[in-house]
Amino acid sequence: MAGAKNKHWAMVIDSAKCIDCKACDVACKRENGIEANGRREVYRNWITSKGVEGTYPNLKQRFEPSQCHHCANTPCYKVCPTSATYKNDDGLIMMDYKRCIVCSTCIAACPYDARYVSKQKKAIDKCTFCAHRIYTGKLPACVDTCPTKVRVFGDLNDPESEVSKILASRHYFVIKPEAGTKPNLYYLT
Amino acid sequence: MSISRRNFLKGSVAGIGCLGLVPVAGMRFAGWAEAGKQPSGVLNYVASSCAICTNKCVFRGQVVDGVIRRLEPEPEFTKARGMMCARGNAGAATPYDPDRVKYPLIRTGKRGEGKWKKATWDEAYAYIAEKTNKVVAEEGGHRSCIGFVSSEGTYHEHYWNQFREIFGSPNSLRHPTLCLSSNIRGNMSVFGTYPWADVKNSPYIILAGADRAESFFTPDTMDMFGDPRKTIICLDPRFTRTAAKATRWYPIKPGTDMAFALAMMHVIIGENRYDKEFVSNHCVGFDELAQHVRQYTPRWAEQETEIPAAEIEKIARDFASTPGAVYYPGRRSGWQGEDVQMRRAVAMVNAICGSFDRPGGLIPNASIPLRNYFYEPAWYDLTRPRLEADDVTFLNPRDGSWIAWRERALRADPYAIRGLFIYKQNVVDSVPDRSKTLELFDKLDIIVSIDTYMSDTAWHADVVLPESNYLERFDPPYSLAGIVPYVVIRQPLIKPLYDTKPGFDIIKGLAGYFADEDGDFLNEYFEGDVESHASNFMADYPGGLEMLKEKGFFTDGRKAEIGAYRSGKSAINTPSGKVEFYSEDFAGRGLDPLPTYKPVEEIPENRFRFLVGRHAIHTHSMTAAFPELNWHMPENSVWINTRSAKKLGIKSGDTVQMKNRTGGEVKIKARVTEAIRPDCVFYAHGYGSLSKAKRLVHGKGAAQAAILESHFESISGNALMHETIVEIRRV
Ligand code: SF4
Ligand code: SF4
Ligand code: SF4
Repeated sequence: MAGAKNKHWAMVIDSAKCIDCKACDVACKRENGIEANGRREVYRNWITSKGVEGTYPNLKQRFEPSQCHHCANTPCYKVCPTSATYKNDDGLIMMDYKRCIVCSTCIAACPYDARYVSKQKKAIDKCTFCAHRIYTGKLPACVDTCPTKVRVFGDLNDPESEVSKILASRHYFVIKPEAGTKPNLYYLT
Repeated sequence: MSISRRNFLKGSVAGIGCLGLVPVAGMRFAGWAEAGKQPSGVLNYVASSCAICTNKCVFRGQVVDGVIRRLEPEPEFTKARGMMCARGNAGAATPYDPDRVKYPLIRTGKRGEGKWKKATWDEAYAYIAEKTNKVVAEEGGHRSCIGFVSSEGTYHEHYWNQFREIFGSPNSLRHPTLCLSSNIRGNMSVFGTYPWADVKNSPYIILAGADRAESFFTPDTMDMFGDPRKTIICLDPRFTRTAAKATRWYPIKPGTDMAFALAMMHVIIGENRYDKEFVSNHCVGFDELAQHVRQYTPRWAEQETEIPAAEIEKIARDFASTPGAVYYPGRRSGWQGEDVQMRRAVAMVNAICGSFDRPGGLIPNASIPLRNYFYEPAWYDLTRPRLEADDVTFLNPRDGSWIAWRERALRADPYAIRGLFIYKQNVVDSVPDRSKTLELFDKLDIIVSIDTYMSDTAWHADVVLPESNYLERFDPPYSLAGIVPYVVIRQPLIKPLYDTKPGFDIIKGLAGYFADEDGDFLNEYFEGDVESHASNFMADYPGGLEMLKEKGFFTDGRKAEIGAYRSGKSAINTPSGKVEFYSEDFAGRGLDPLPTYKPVEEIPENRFRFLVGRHAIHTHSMTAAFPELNWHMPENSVWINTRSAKKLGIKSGDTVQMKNRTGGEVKIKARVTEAIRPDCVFYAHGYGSLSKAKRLVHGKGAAQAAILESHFESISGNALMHETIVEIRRV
């Protein structure tokens, strides 16, 4: 499961379509066997919102889905003392749970707060882009389950992929570019 | 925008030495160890359909070593646009819920005390039959004294109806009068059908009372929000997720939607913007309508709705001039006063603009007809009319009118109800004014609940008959109407984990303990089995059943034919055969032939109108205790506007006491927010459960049924869910 060298996985997120329904969170937990058991910090993907902004009746609320950005320039990977955090040939940032000593340095290093302590795994955990699925030609769970198809997933090395086409035709941004992480989550404007 | 879970870090790291799994959700992986087998890790898929709400989305169920892992959306099932919502995903855990009902139970303690003895099926049936036959004898043999309650969603409901009919009771009660009966009736009177909106092709949608971002309806939710180019006008007293996504949101004063619709028609007709071709060729009673709406100016409507007149005018003009614009028939707006008339007014806005039977407009549904399920009728001389037969103008005899019926049953008027047989519907939580439902329960000699889990209704029953979970069951084909109709099915992903049975087996089993007037046992009326019925249902579609089993759905490619009513190919099913504005039928029944506005009751100072509503992670009272959903909302809280809260000295997190006008009272935490009108309050459904076997929500927050007063309107029999006025104070 090392991934193919010629792939460049990326996710394009159209936050304007997100209705904050939490399907992506539940699907991810099911797909990856994650048991939160009521612990609030256990999630691989999440919806950020500042809540309802403004004063009645002039209100707005925005939702921004997120997860591990699978950074090409990878802070968590650099700080990991045991190589529990490693890179696949296609750039996916993965975890070898057995090697993880839960020193949590990577949690502090990640600018996106993408990691958490998994009591279940006795290790740090985070989104894998559902590597076990994409290597068998399926979509990540958060992508396929989404009612409004907020997330589009694919290979940026393939100019015909939907992600390549969208990024070629739409304005987009990345989160915290100043962190220099070269993330692989792209947000449409 | 950033959130941080790093503050959880300290505790987590410190706690890492004492790892341990809490057993609740860990259950689902326990199967492997128990079976003593080496896990193979091989992933198998079973096609089936969801049972967590009414949409019945089709999925590919992942099963690994006999354990359900996940329910993946079926991408080819276009009704759901290939999605699976949070609830549908969380349904995968339901067979493994440690609190589910695992075998038949007979009550040993007081009702609602939670003391049970485990019973065999035969013991349970015999117990029910003995009690029931005794009360029927006491009532002189008339079987109408047993009420039969059921709910859609289980594809076995037709067997239940059969049982009721051959048992000999007319008293059938279902969910619609707690939901959409008024909406159906209003649209029926205008269009002769209850059409659905062609959201996909509509560029301009007025959404009132349909929080489609949180109250999922396939494919409307997907089409509405998956396409940010659409203009969505949201009228809702509460700033919902839909309001957040809408182009414009208007916190309309509850109960004034009819004023908004009438003023729109005032503008559209007054400015000659209506669809003359459609109106003259396909409608009747337009002149009366035009005359009628002259009184309803936007300036007047502003006073009623609190939406500025200029905005109403603009919306009316934009609506009339945008091809494919639709005024979506939402269910939750209104539920006050003249509810059916309000629905008619909304239907008429669509009709005068020709937004019927055209792309983007209201479209009469298509469906894929299945072969009928036939059975022999049984005849009883003593059967009486249903209790509330005279209380509702258009009473659907299958659905009944819940509140009207319960009022009659409480008074034993015109005869006593002695027992309730309840299949799936959680009446204790879903019918407004829980205390009245429990008061009725107190009068009953026998209460039977067929359910998959210990709902508040099952909790108060005498006998609980556990139905197998929807992921353990074969359910016969079910025809889903729509602009693009489908047939769906359910297949077991796993074998039943406990001593449970599918609906058909339970119903037939119970029927075997009752006899008709000739002494023939009622189970003899049930022929074949679910498999044979499934084949028969699909007999007109060669290969259809095979497709259902392979994919979980069937289609023969049919769609609603848009334009069929305009061309005359399909007939409009109203008395006049036309779209009706002025209704002779209504006039003949002593009802307003045109929708006439009646002002809503003013809310006294420091009182609030209680609103109901949905949340995307919950289906009614069913899902609040699903661990993966409860994680997102462990408790409900009452929304109260910042300014109103300030006046009452209430802060977020304070416990408040709410009282309605009929003795209903709850305690709940406050959530102070800008996102609701200052004269309204709201809290989510499903919490404050009485059942101790819904551990995550027992005693957590408050139940809607505990605060809702019971009111209904008499044209369709629909509950008026928004006629509850409460006072609130900090405790
Ligand atoms: S599933 Fe889609 S719409 Fe729902 S919260 Fe996730 S990203 Fe948003
Ligand atoms: S988002 Fe965080 S966890 Fe993911 S690769 Fe980047 S630094 Fe690592
Ligand atoms: S909308 Fe959600 S809960 Fe309803 S049937 Fe579909 S997946 Fe299930």
